Amino acid sequence: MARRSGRWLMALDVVAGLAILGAVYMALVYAPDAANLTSENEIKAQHIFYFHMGCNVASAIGLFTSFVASILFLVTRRRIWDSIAVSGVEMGLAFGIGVLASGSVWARPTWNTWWTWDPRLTSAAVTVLVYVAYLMLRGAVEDPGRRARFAGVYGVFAFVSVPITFLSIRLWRTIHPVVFGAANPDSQGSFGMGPNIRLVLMYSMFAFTILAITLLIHRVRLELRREEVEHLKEQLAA
Amino acid sequence: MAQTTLTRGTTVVRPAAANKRIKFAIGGVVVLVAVVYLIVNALGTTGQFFLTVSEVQAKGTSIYGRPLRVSGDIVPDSIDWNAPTLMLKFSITDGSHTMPVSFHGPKPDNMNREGSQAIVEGKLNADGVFQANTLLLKCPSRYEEMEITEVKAVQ
Repeated sequence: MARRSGRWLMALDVVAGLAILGAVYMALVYAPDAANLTSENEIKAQHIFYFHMGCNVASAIGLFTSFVASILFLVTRRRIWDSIAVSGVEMGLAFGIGVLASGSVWARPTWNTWWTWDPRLTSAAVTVLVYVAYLMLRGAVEDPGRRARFAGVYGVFAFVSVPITFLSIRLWRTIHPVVFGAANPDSQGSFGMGPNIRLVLMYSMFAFTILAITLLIHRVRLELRREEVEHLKEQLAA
Repeated sequence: MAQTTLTRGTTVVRPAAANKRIKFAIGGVVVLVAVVYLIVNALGTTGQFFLTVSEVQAKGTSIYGRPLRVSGDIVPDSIDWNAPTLMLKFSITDGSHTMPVSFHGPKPDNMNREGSQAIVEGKLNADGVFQANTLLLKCPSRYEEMEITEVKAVQ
């Protein structure tokens, strides 16, 4: 049984790897330069867009998974949900930092700054900090049962920061473009793109979705192993 | 369940664990303070990330010298760039009102793009010129592709 699931997972690893290699090719080679940009650096940096949006999807998958798993833990009190919740947070945080970093590098030639405290950038940075605090909370509680309960409650409330970040550009005036759906009309109109640019964006988000799911499965398996080791150590100590 | 027997068995208070907990508590407070500070800071004095040119004009003289962030379309013909002195002058508009801006610093390469929008941070002087210490540009609202532009050119 274990060997069989291992084989499935290995197949998924290969698919995810190829999908991401494909995304790199699509974003850097296949995707046309945006024709209406004037500065060379801005044209080059525009290709970061595909990775920024990809990281964003992967981060959202991780954090949403942690939200659902936290609720399920609090309802069922089954430890597996706590393991899934912490795995989701870690992955969401890693890709969330990727979102901030890629956005910052894109912003330098585009907005003429690495960073500005506009509602979107602030809410995204707050989200990352809120989930850093989640991991710190877990680190501070020794007893696994208490740790899981505290993290479960915190994990549900922490997720509030995610929809706020999503809505920040849609509700308030900001420098940040809104790629999907209507923007705040005083801020910037809705965003459009050429057909090939849109195709690459869609593919990239799809590839990052597969990568996110694959990494999440690995991280949950790792967490289960870690708990097994913890349990065995306790038995040895007792 | 093995956990409870373990904690009951070893009643010795481990200083390392207590120390670790204090460290995490301090770290947690630091993160919380940072989050609150960021939110308060982002709300700012006006509660908006930026004002429009008309909103600034409507505030009249009371706003002179106060830190502001203003957004508007760059008036294409208004850009006056003096490279040796790094003096950049241009105007921003929201359609109904226009405001002259002066900025000391390098001119962004992508400023001349058609329909460019700027967000300037600084203060409005009594002479009506906005003294910017930070110049931000918005990205275009569409990523065009070359093929489409060519087709349009033929028509």
